[in-house]
Amino acid sequence: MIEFRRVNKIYEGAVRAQALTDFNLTIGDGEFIFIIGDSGAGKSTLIKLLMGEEKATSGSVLVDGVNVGKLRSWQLPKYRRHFGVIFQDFRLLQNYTVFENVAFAQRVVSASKKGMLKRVPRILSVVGLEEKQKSYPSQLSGGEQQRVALARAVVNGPQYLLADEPTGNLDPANSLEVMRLLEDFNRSGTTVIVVTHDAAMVDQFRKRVVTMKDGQVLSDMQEGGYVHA
Amino acid sequence: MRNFFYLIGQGIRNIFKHIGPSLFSLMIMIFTIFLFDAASVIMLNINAFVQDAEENVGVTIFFNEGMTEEEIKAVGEEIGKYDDIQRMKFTSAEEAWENYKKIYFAGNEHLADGYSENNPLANSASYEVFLKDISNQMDFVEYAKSIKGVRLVNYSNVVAEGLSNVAAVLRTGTIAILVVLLVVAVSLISNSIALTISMRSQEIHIMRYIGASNGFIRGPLIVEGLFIGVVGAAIPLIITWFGYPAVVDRIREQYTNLVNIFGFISREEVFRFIGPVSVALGVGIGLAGSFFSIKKHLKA
Repeated sequence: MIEFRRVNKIYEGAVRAQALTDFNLTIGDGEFIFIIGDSGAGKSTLIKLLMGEEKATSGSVLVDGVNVGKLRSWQLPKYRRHFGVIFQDFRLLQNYTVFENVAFAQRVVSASKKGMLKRVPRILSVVGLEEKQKSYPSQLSGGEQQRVALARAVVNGPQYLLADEPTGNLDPANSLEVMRLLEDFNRSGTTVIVVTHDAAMVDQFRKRVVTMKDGQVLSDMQEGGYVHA
Repeated sequence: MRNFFYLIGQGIRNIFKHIGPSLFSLMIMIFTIFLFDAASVIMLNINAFVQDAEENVGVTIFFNEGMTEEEIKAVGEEIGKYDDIQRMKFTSAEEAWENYKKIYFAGNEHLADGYSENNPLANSASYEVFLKDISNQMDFVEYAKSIKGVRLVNYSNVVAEGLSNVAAVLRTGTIAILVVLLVVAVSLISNSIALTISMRSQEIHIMRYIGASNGFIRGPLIVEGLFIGVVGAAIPLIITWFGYPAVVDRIREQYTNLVNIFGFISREEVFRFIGPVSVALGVGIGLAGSFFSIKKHLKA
């Protein structure tokens, strides 16, 4: 379970910016949730706080009872292994093949070579890319690249799947395919959090929708649709 | 441990990915270590020569004319009270004359027979004194001159002082240049690794999000610095290994007179010192470069 309790986040700098204000949100295990909102609503800050990249100025972010802000830097890697993350720009390693990109995630967690050789092809077949194992990202379409990123995100069996604008660079058909895959992973028990601007997808999938505005929750609806804040 | 070889491979791969800055760092490393090696070779040889001189260059003390054997022995005991003496050797007037004959009447010993009743070196009994530390020679000479019954103190301070001075100047100069080069080498390696961090920023970001440990992210960067450091030490050592005997031979050919007084130390003896110290320097500089860069450019 993920809990944001009265979280405030202020970025100090040349210009002081308050990204989150008394933000409260609870995400239960196995949920599928869309987080929507305009630019500057605080969505990216939410992801950074969850991943331990930033610390809350006040309040607490709890993941399975662990206060993320209190984790020491040496504890963060292990904590982050609970999450799989995909990004709008895929962030694949261009000089690695599809297989190597996915295997990279396994290597990072010191998986055995035997396990890696078994698990990577299996996950690539789940995302429909078993035939493209030896291809490089530049040889793939946007949809295929996002599916590689998705395979990399889930290959270590994370508890939470965090998707930051996963369909932002994809056409409707590929967007739908990626969303369906996310839904499949959610059905198998993974908690899925999708941060998006994609109104069509939000409306089509009818999941829980949290709308953010100015660092606060504007609305929180079960089986909701896209709300223009 | 499972990723040990992978991390080493990644570190070496990084070097070839930005070969220009890596090569520049490597060149400076080679230059720094080579300078250290060359200066060490010269100083080791000078030290060996000074040590040899200390053991073999003595101070010779002669006595007033007409002194009895007892009086001379008493003076000898007085000399022996000086702290810094390594050994001393007494040469009687007769021994002195015998030695003289061996050198100057060699083959014509009968010519010396005319002196058999009247030793021309009757007043040449002497003590030859070898000191533990030749740089204290002048203090001892003053001490010996102050002893009653001492007529003459022969010594040579040109070689000892000259060599000690050359070694001191060389040591100071080399240390000053080395300190500057060390700072330059560390900062260049650090810069080369900063480039890796910047080139791999996306990869590092992904690694973090996947849950890579700090060791997994930093490992290749440390290997990179270490590799430049070790190769930067190995190349000057190889040059010195082959170059030192060649230079010694060349000097021996060109300056035959020098060879009679200056014995060069062996290559093995040179390497017993510069081998481990150069490698330690290379490793130290490489690691320092890595750590500075990681600390400055890589946040957890």
